[in-house]
Amino acid sequence: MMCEWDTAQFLIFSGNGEPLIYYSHVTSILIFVALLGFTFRRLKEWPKNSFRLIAFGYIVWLFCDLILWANENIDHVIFFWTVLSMVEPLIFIGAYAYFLQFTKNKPLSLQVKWFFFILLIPTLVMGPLGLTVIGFDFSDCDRNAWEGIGVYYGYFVEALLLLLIIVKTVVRLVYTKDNLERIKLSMVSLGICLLFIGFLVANFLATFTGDYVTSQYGHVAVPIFAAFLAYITIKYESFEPRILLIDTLVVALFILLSSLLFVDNASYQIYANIMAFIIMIPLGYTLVTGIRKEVRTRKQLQQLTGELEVTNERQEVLMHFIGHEVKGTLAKDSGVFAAISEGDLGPVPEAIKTFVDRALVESRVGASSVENILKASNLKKGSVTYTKEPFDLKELVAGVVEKVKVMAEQKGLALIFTAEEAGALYTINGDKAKLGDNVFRNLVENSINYTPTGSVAVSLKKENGKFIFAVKDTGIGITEEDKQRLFTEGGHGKDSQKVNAHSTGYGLFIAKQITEANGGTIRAESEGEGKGSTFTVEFPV
Amino acid sequence: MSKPRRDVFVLLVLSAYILAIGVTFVRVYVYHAYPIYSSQEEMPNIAEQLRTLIYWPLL
Repeated sequence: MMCEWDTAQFLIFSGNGEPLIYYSHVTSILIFVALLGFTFRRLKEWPKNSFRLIAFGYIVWLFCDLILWANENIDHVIFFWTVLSMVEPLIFIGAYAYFLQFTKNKPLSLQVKWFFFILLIPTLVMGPLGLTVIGFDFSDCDRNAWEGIGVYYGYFVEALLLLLIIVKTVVRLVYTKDNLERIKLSMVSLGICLLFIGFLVANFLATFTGDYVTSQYGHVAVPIFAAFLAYITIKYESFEPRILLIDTLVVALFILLSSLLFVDNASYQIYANIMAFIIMIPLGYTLVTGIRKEVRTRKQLQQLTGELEVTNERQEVLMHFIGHEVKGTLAKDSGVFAAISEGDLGPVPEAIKTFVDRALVESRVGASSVENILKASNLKKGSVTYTKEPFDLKELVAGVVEKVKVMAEQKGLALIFTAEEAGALYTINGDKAKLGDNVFRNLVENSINYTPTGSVAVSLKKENGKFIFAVKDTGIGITEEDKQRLFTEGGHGKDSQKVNAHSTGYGLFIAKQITEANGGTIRAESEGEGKGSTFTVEFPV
Repeated sequence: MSKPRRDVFVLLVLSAYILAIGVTFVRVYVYHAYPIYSSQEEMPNIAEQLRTLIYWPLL
């Protein structure tokens, strides 16, 4: 048979192959060489070896394939076809090793290495025996070799490893709870599967379609997916799906646009493509840097929030400690002052007794303030327990009014208590002691403190299925600005300390927390500064 | 300084490949020990290939 074959120069240069073959093979080899150079410095030691294996294996494979496309020499066809078939399982083993190392985050075990070696033995035996490439096909002028069971064994190894990757991925996805880990795993598995598929498409598409030339694009896809894998590995420590997605999208657009520049022949289309490519460069850059900056800022913010929470917690503990110490000291002082004032330590001159009495009041007020701060802190932490039981609200409020009556009288205020007949008892379920001291007494005392002249009216009624407690005074009133921070922690009114020097700003915060914990609501109303105010507490019947 | 164990394994795989490729090289370029088929009928079937694989140490 006479076949018109070009004689190849330097093994690979001849007119026997289409120009696209050189484009696909040489481009892929160059991308892999660049990737090797780039990843050598960036990857960890162990995935680096697997990546090296994929890259070297694929470079050798592509080089052998290029020789087969270009060469007419039968010895070369037999030899390089055999080498190519022996190297092929090595690329897949490299990809599988990469998958194992990445997902387990450690080097390969000795058992796995031996498993790989045993998988390779049939390939290494069948190649020299002539069972991988069994002879030259001279039935036509296509310069093909006849493939034997060595090649089929190679396909078996590739299918087995691909199956193992898929099964292991599915199993790990089922058992991994961490979402970020699941995304990482999916990305790597997808990258490896696409790398496998790119390779298989390049090899086998032609078998089914008969189009040996177009299928060569698959070889360009392989280093792109390898680059994707290397990128994920480099980004592993600071893995961020949004950055990865946007980077991948931009790179994919670049590849798409640049490939259109080569493929499309219509001149107006090429100009449009060039324009799109030029526009894409600043847009892509802005998009990638913008997203990266945003993600970085968010991470910093999260870190700072975490640090702030820790600092707050420490401060809270410190405040608690100081509060308890101060309260203890003030309680001891009160005891001493009371003993002196009452003459337990002997007769006290009148002038000294006046000072001691004032000191006693001050230390009691001080202790009460510290106690309020500690209570607020406990309420915020949620460490307060409530002893709830049914009790008569009317009886409790009447008792509170009775206790503070002296205080109102001392200021010359009229303290009025009215309770509508509810037809039944004002029975509610709640913590009687805490509601009495921290809510009702606190509200009535507040009204007395902030009312220079006039009256304080305490009322209790049942309306619309609710028990409504209200304290209405003719005091200094509440401005709109003060209303906003009235029930907040440490939320003083703007001028409240001018009227009540001992105000801590925690009383109403505590009252609100306790009311709500007992199923009630609390609110304050005032027509403005100097027009008095009304505090209302409601409980469902 | 002891060398890491993986070097031994890499060396083993590398040696096996060099040996296999070396033998193939000699078989192809020195002895030209491969058939040239002009039709599919002349090719050995899978059973014959398996027989070669099983009895190769006796060849």
